[in-house]
Formats: sequence, structure tokens, C-alpha cells
Amino acid sequence: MTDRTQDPINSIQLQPGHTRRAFLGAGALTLLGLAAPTVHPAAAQTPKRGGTLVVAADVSPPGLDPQKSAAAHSWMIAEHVYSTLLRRDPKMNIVGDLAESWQVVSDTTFVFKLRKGVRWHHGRDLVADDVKHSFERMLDEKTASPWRSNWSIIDRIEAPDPSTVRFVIKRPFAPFFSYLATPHYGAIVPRDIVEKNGDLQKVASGTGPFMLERFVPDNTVVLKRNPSYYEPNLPYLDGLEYRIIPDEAARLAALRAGTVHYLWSVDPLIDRQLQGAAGIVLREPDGYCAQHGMAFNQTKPPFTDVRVRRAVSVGINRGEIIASVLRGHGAITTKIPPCDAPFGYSGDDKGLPYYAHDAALAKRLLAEAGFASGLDTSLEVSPRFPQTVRTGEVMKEQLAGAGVRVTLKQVEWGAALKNFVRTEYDGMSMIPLVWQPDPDAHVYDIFHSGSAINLGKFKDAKVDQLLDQGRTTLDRDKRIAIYRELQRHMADQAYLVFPYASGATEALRDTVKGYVSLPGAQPGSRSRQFFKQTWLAG
Amino acid sequence: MTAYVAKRLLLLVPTLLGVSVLTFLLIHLIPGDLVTILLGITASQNEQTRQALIHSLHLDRPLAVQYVLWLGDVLRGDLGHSLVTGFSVRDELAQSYPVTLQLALMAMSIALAVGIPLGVLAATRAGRVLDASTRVFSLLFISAPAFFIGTVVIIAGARYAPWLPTLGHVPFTESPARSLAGMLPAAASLGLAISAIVARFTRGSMLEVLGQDFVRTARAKGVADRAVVYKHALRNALIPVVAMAGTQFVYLIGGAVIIEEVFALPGMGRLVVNAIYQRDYTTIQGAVLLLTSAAVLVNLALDLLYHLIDRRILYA
Repeated sequence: MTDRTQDPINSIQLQPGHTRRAFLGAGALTLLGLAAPTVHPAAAQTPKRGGTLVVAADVSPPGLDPQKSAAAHSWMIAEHVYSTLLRRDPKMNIVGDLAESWQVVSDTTFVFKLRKGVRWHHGRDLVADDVKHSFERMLDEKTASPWRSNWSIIDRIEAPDPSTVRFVIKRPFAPFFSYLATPHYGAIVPRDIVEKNGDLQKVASGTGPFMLERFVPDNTVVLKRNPSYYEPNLPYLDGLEYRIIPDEAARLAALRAGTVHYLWSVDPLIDRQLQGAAGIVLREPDGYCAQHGMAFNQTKPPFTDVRVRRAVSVGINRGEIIASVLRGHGAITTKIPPCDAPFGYSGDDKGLPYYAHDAALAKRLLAEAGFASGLDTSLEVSPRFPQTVRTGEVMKEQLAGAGVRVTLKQVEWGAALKNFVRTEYDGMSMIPLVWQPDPDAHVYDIFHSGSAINLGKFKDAKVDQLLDQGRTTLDRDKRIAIYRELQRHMADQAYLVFPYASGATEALRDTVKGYVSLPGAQPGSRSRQFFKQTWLAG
Repeated sequence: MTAYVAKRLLLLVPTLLGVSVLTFLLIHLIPGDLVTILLGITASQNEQTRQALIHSLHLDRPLAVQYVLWLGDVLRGDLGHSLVTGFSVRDELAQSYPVTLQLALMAMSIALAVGIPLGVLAATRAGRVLDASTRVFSLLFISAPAFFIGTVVIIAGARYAPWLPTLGHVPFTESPARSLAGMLPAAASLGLAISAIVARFTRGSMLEVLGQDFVRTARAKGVADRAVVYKHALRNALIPVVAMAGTQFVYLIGGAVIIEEVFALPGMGRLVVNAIYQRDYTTIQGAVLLLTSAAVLVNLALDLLYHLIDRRILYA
């Protein structure tokens, strides 16, 4: 059990010949329950069986297939229905889920032993072939899975017997175990149900704590308790219902009325709206995992000049943005957020080059770059995310004081996303970014010069080198050093500007007990897979 | 009459063709791209994944080819599958349209049930207190947007009547009573706004008719006041009201986006708006076909309704 003291993200040391047992049995579960960083002291009470927890969700899942849908609103359902080989505990350590134990045979070969007696929701036993099929399905071009490139590292998967799976990967790949423990990348799906239905967009059968009962798009997703879930006595709830309520005022009203038990809100003003509401508990974000990212079009001047980019980076006042837009609920960040420390940077704006606000320095840098009389540029934001627009407005004011005159352009989300990803905006563009399951996943694709979605189309040999090292280095301390260096170098070159990391505030009825959330890529940058340990009092 | 109806129905074909070509071109003009939206930021970087998806969705064919492929399927009765979810478009429409129709019918019933009596009362008591209060009521509901009334209804409901179901939708086929009750707040928010317009129209139209010769003649003949108002005047005054209410109804069956959003109803408005956001071309096309057909048919039904109200209006 030494791994409990280890760190998030990549607690597993990939040492050849090293075998580890996963947490099993009731003892481990009690431990998980006690480790819960929950606001309810009542977590120590005896959990009560029964009841349906109703969640107010903002957006309807476009489909439920975790291997086909790139939408976070699909994973918020899938994480309760499907299991993974590995998963994260509330402290973000990677532990076994469907895998009872595993062996690191070499840097590129891993053998997993499956838990015995696990059954699919439709009654059949889980076999190693299901695991093999799940990954082969994502790798199959015809599936058009968004995760195909994540798993392209896999050379082959073998299922020598019904409870053994053997992965052989092409070269050492540090994020491999993190990916396996991420619900939407690593969900194990049943071969027979996929083959019968073509895909899992409308139907579902997993091995997870809850089973799909009903999915009515734009209306509701109803999950019921899996009576034969492999963790004894779990889940406590009889069911989970995700009611789709797009309007925020309506979601809050439903929570007040008690017709829903739980909601998340990225609007930091939610605490004011719910002030004095009886029977409602507000939960501040446990950590700041979601970020805003601003990219510069570096295919043409003026942002090809590092001095101009640095001027923008010191021209904005990150602390002031956090205080005003987020009412203090935020933190200084790079692309690897503070909730992923020690990989992520978690200090103040003094600790990174060109992070602290300095309007005089900005003006000087601009003058050196030939913009003594100031610079005119534009910033694209999408009104789909009011917080992005508010952030843009504050930055515009701040930059005006530093000699950068910004025109704010509001662009419809579909267009804004495409422009951002492909660097098809004029000056600058900013969108909300989401948490990723590994430092490599955070940065590789958007920083590497060979990637089609390099944000801003910058090329830096040193960045590429660090990215490749970070991906192939298996020693955790060396990896931390590599990503530290990368973040420092990125800040120094100001290739991208990250105004802040933020988190979703959650609101619950006070009858909801034993709730734990973890960093996740699901809506609100939280994973709620521990709803299986949540129960309703009274 | 039959010939007239047949002719109008035949006209539906070129209308639908024209509308579908227009929508097809328009939605492809919107900037933004389906594949990026589908794959998200991380996954859209992989060119192979991108190309595989583009190919599987036929997005690599020329626009004209894409249109003809789609049209061919439609003529065979297949509206295709949503590009985003892979669900059958027909199923999605079959799920959303009843919601919108139910909302439209309920809202319209409320609008007429409240608006017409109010208008008649205001007209017969022109200049008196009841007339003035009707005017205040109308002004209030015409000025306040439906989403505002809706939000007030929800918040007031949560605070003072938490047992009242204000959110979510139960299909009519599952439980008619719960379905009607569940949709009542949304239908009332929409219906009251329209009832205000109906009331004003009815009042104006009634005042005009009440001043006409045949009404005076009827009165002179000694017909009871009640009969004059409701039998003679109202029937004639209703024609412009029906025309106006008909236009409103055509709007309603197109989906009341904002009210559907506020009250979390899975209707056509939300289906179409989400499809547009996600560039889900097949869903948009299917929905537009359905909505256009519905609009044409409702207009036809309205024209026939005039005939029922006033037999002198004939169609040839």
C-alpha cells in the first residue's frame, strides 16, 4: 500500500518485473471513504441504501459511446456505466479497477490479470477478449474514434486466456497507465453488444456501478443500480438521474425546490445566487484544473516577435483577472494546471518569467520591437462562454494600459473553435481548455511543431525535444524536471498566454452524503465516478 | 374545393425542394467545421483520424453530390442519420416534434381561451375599468419577453410551490395527465404572451364590427344583446383574429427555442438550434423539411378554417 503516499498522475513506476496488487475488498473501500475530502462531516455516518440522486446537467450527451464521442457530456454518463482496467482513487493514485493485478514485464510489455467474476450488465462474464476488442475497436479506422491517436502507441494486444491481457507497445510511453485509468480513453466495452448494435451511442452495457435504463436526448438519462457490481454493497443509491436543464436560472431553481440534488456551475457568482438558500451546501472547487488559453497567430507579424508576445504576457494582470472575473476562485497556471502539481506549476506570478504584471516593461518591449506608439490587434472569444468574454474584456482594458489596443471579436463557438485549433484568426484567440489525464496529454499535441493543432503555429526545437523526453522518460522525478523546464521555457518565450486556472463550484442538497469529486475531463473539470459511494440521508 | 386542396398540396413539392436547396447551401456557408466540433481539440490534430471521419461522413464529396445523395435517400423515405450522434434523424424528429406540437397546441388553447373572452369583454365595455385593466394586462404580456415570464414562473414555483413540476418533460403517451401538468407552466408563459395580442386584436375587431349596420339592424329587430355580441358580431370579428393566431401558431410549431430552453423541454427548437451549433447537416435538413411541411399544411388548414367561419369565403 506504499502507493498511497505517492503522487498523482503517474504514481506507477514502470520498473521491469515489478508486480503490484490493486486495492481490493472492504478494507480498501473504508479507506477510500475516509480519505474523501468532503465538506460533509457526516461522511462518517453509516451510509444508507436507496434513493435516486438527481443531477441537473446543462447539456444533453450527444451519444453515450465513450469510444466514439469526444464530448465531455458523454463521459459524465459513461464513467458510471463502464469500468476501466485501472482507475484513480480520490487522491489521484492509480489503482486497479477491472485489473486485479498487473506486471510490468519490460518498458514496453505489460500483463494484466482481470478480476474474477465480473459480469456485464447484460449478464455475460467479462473476458480478456472484451478488453482486447475494446482497444482494437478504438484503433480501427472505421470506428473513427477520437482516441485512435492516443492508443496508436499500441503494437499488439493479446488475450492468452480469459483472464489475462498482454499489451505490447511500440516504445516506452509514460502516459500509458494514466490513459488506461481515464474513463473515456480506457472504458472497456462488451464485444457482443457493440457487434449487435453497431455502436454504443444509444445503448449501453458495462461493468460499472450503474446501468443505463433510459436515455431520452435533450431530456433525461436514467441509470439504475447494478446489483452485481463487484465492489460489495456499492453503489448505495438505487439510481442516478441526469436531468438536462440548459438554463442556469432554471437549474438553480430546481435545486432550491429540491427536485434536483446536485449541480455544478462554472459561474463563480453562484454563491451569491444561492446565498441563504435553505438546505443547500456549496462546495468550493477542490483544485483548479480548467484553464483559459490565449494563442497568438505566429504565422505572421507582429506575434512572430518574442518581444511582442512578452509584452502581452506582462501587459495583463493575472491576479487582477482572478480577483475580478473569478472573484478569487482561481490560480496562476501554465497549460499543466496547479491541480496536477508537482507536474503543474502551482506558485504565484513571480515564479515564472514574464508572468508578473509590468505595464512599463510591456511598453519598453513594444518599443524595442518597433511599436513605440502602440500596437493594434484583435482577440477572438466566443459568447458561448460568458466567462471567456468577461476575461477578454478585462484583458483588453489591461492591455490598453500597456500600449496594446485590442479589438474584441465575438465569434460563434463552432467557428471560434475551428479558428483557434487551426490558427485561422487574425491576432489572438482565447478559449476555455479542459483538464487532461497526463502532463503529456496536456501539452504534446498543442505544443509540438509537427502537430496539426500546434496552437499559434510556433516551432521550437527545444520544446519538441522536451515534449519527446517527457513522453518517453519513465522515471517520475526526471519527468517532473522535464515538465518544469518546459513550463519555464514556454513562459519565457510567451508562445501562449494562460490567464488563469479555475474550477467549478458544486452545489448539493444537504441530504447528499459521502460525495467525492476528482479532477476529470468531464463537465466542470470534475469526475464524479464516486457517486457510487454517495448516499441520500432522510 | 377538393381541386383547390390538391393544388395546394402539390405546391408543397417545389416548396420543399426549394427550401431544402436553400438550407443546404446556407448551412454550408456558416463558418466552422463539423469535424473539429466532433473530435474536440485534442483529437482533431490527428490528420488520419480527421480524414477517416470526413470520409465516413461523405464530407469529402462536392456539395452538389452531397445534396443529391441526401435527396436520393429522402425520396426513399430515409432522412439519414445525425452526423453528430449517429441517431436516425427520423427517430429524433419523432421524439421532438410531439413535444413541440403539444406545447404549441396548449399555448394556443390558453391564448385563445384567455384572449378572446378578454377582447370581447373589453370591446363591450369599451372605456370602462375592465377595458383599461385588459389593456394593462395586454401591455404587460406583450412587452415582457416569454423567457422572462418563464424564468419568473420557475423561480416563483421553486419558492412558493416546490411540489409543482416545472422542469423536465413526460411524454403524453406515457402519462397524459402528468404530461399536461408538466407542460402547463411553459405553455402558460407562451400562451399568456400570445393571449395579450389576441385580446387586443379581438377588441379592435369587435369594436369595428359592433359599429356596423347589420349589428344595429339586429339590435333594432330586438335580438338580445348577448346574441348580438356572441352570435352575430363575434363570428364576423373572428376572421382577422384567426388569421393572426394562425401566424402565431405557425411560429409555435417551428419550435419555441427560448421557452424550450428555459423549461428544459426536448422540442424542435432545441433540436434545431443544437444541430446548427454542431453543424449537424442531416438533422438540420430533416428538421427543415418537417417544419416547412408543417407550416404549409397549417396555412392550408387555416385557409379552410376561414370557410368554416364564413361560408361566403370560397376556394376554387
